[in-house]
Amino acid sequence: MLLISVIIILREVLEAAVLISIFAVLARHFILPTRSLKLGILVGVFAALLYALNLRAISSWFGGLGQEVFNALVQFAIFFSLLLVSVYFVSVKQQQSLPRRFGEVVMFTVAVLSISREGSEVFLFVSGFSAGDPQLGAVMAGIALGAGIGFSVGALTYFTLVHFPISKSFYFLLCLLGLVGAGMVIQGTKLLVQADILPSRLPLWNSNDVLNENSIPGQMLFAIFGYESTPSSIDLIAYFSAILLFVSSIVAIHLWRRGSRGVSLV
Amino acid sequence: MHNRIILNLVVLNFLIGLSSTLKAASTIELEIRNHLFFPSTLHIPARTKVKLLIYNRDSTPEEFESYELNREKVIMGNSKAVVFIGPLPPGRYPFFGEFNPKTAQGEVVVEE
Repeated sequence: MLLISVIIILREVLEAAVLISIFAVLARHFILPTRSLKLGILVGVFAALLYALNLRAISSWFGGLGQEVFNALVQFAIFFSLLLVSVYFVSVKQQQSLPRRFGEVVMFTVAVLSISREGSEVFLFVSGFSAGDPQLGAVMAGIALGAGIGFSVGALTYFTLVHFPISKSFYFLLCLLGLVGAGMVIQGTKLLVQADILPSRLPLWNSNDVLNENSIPGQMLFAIFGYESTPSSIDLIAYFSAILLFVSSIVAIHLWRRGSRGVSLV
Repeated sequence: MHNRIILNLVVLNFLIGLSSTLKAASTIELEIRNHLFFPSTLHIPARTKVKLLIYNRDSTPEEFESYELNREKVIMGNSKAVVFIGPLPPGRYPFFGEFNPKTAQGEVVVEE
């Protein structure tokens, strides 16, 4: 039970931990306050509880498809928020920053959404144990351990990335945000296929021989980047559309900011 | 009056036809009882979409999950949920209950 609890919590915490640590690196380099991140974490935990408490009702929406619709929308919202975060930081790097409040709001939004989505499963898992259950001790210990490992991975990510000079690491960090975002889109797409809202198709290939989705690295890649060993055409269209949209937005904000700077110099 | 009814039926049929595949997906029922799946092995035809109707007879929530099938859904205690799977190539696709992975295990066997 201890090990099961550790694994459940770890998988949920990992994704949010990596995202938040990337934001922390960017905030550190651009001397931005991190209060929006901290507030986002707090609100995210409450939102997770709220979601878990209302899941029965949410699941019954849309004729039983409420869970998939709601979760998919959250995934897509995280993607768009990540896109906006990246656009914001490009503007900061170009020294023509969009309003700081904008950057804070989008980072806050990503923190809340990603924690509430993952965190709700932790609350649901715990809700299955009654107050006097002898296994509750092991469950709580497992949660603490899993969360600890997750936070450690986040901290490791932070301390590894923050050491690189921002001029070198900036686009690498944006790539990470883009890949995580595209992973969100593919996960949201799979939920809509599960609910038969999007069409289902045969998988196009199977890369389990190269990297098994069930292996530890496979599970970590799945949790953070949405790694899919048997994608269908729908998955690929969604994924590459997300990448395209993300890259286009970065290019657009580059050109726009540089363009207006050029005009003001004249 | 009759023409209006017929028109409505035709439009309805058209819309339903648009939103579904050539034939409606067949339904298979799955039960969760005492943190176990009944049946633990499901057989479905290859390259076919199938509707899984999952009844959670336990009072605690369970999450039906499978990496191979790419499905995850939380089913609250004493509730039912619908999950569509397929089309899939032939093979064996394990699934598990994430909240009780030691006991809640099953497999979807896809055969021609």
